[in-house]
Amino acid sequence: MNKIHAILILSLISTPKLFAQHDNSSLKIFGYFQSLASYETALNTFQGNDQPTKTSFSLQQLNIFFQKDITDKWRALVNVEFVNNFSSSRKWGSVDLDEAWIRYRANAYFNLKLGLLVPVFNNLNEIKNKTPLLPYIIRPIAYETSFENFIPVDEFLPSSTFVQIYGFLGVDKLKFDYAFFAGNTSNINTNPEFGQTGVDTTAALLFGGRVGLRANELKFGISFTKDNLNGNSELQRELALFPSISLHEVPRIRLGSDLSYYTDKFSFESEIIRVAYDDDINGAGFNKYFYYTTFGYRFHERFFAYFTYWNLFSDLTDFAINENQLILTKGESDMRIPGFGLTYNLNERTVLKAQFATIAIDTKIKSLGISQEANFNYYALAASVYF
Amino acid sequence: MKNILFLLFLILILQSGLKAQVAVIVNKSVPQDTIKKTELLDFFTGDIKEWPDGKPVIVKELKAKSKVREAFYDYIGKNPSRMKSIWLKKMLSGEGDPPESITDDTAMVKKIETTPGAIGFVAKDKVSDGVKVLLFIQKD
Repeated sequence: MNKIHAILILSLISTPKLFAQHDNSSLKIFGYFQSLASYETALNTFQGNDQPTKTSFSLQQLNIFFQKDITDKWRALVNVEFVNNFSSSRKWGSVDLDEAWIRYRANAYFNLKLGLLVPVFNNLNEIKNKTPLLPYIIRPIAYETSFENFIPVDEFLPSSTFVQIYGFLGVDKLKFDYAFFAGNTSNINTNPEFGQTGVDTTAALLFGGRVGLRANELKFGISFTKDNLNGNSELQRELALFPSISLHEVPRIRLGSDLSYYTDKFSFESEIIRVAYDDDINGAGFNKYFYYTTFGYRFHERFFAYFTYWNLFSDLTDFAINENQLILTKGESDMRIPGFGLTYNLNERTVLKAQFATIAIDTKIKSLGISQEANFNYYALAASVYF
Repeated sequence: MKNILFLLFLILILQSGLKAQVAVIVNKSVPQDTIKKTELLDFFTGDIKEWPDGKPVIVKELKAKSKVREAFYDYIGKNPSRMKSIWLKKMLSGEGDPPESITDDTAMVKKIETTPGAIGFVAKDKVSDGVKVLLFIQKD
């Protein structure tokens, strides 16, 4: 925590004036953080869960940006992200180089970004980590990077790419947005024991994009990516017992669609993501589906309330011993999360947030006659500050 | 009766005085003489950042809450909290910087006069000869 405080204080001391368009003479340093207090209570848990309630205080996220306008046309930006009370000495949390790119802006119709960047995909991918922009404390679950240990965010989303062209075409009120990007597949493996970690340079190119229409505050878009999965993971090693299944270079397609609308008081946003793997993975299943929708109402300049519903459905592949034989099991998991929340703009740069969610997870493996259900309630308070 | 008529007259005078009359002003270097509502929206949301001659658009806004500010944002169809959210998104995505907030109308006129490519808005009666007026907005 001391390191984070030191970085924060240094940033505050050296922060130049933020609100200055085309002040390209200086390096701009800015950022934000979100502090969180949460309470989780398990109403009904899977077998073996001996922790029915959890209370947690954490610095959920801290991001620091370094931005420099090199000329009127070229801009460079670096975004470093610290997650979950990062401390290297205590082995808590993580630190990521989230973005490091240079952008060429010809005009509104054509922009080019080169370097490590978060690509445009549906509504939220590009801004999923920008906590001051979001009313949520816990983001729609496929986007919740601080839960990466048990929600495979990298499978749902293209978390980073290395080149992107984007812009919009249009006249007056109607605009046609486009973005096309390319890079490497995100590597889901974090354990060197099971193969390569980091960027997966063995897989084929990842490419994708989003095309959409915008009429003032009504926005609609379709997103896609195409890449191959290299399952360098513990699961891959276990799958070696089943020669018919290989997780090398498995073709994967993500399809997404987003719709949003804002008025003075009312807002609506919704997304669907479908992750489909090649059907030829004999006996194993990894397909995924995610959906969220949020209705919001601003009943005062400072107060905003919302209701949200998330659904994450995924195929499960696991192993079981049946009559002294190791067998592959294929099942499914269905996670449903309705919730609501409130935000209050304390001042120009501080947003206070409250959120409640009730989580229901059904897991079924028909071949073994297994059906488990778990329910949790989740309460959270947070402060999101940008500086 | 005379008193009532006088009172009604006074109310009418006061009401007309409360009408916010806004002038959208630009630096004299700006290569256009009129502006459409959709163009204003594109400039103030940061979608378009260049004038037709390719020079950068420098947006300025009034800091304090005022009838002029309210009338301007009403005209382009955004409330100030939505605008703040749009600017913050641009800033945190590295796509643009929020406009500089100017303390009052007089300072705004001076800033627009001295900043090439600048655009802002002030009360109609504060406009000087040093700036170009692209549009008058009247809120009833």
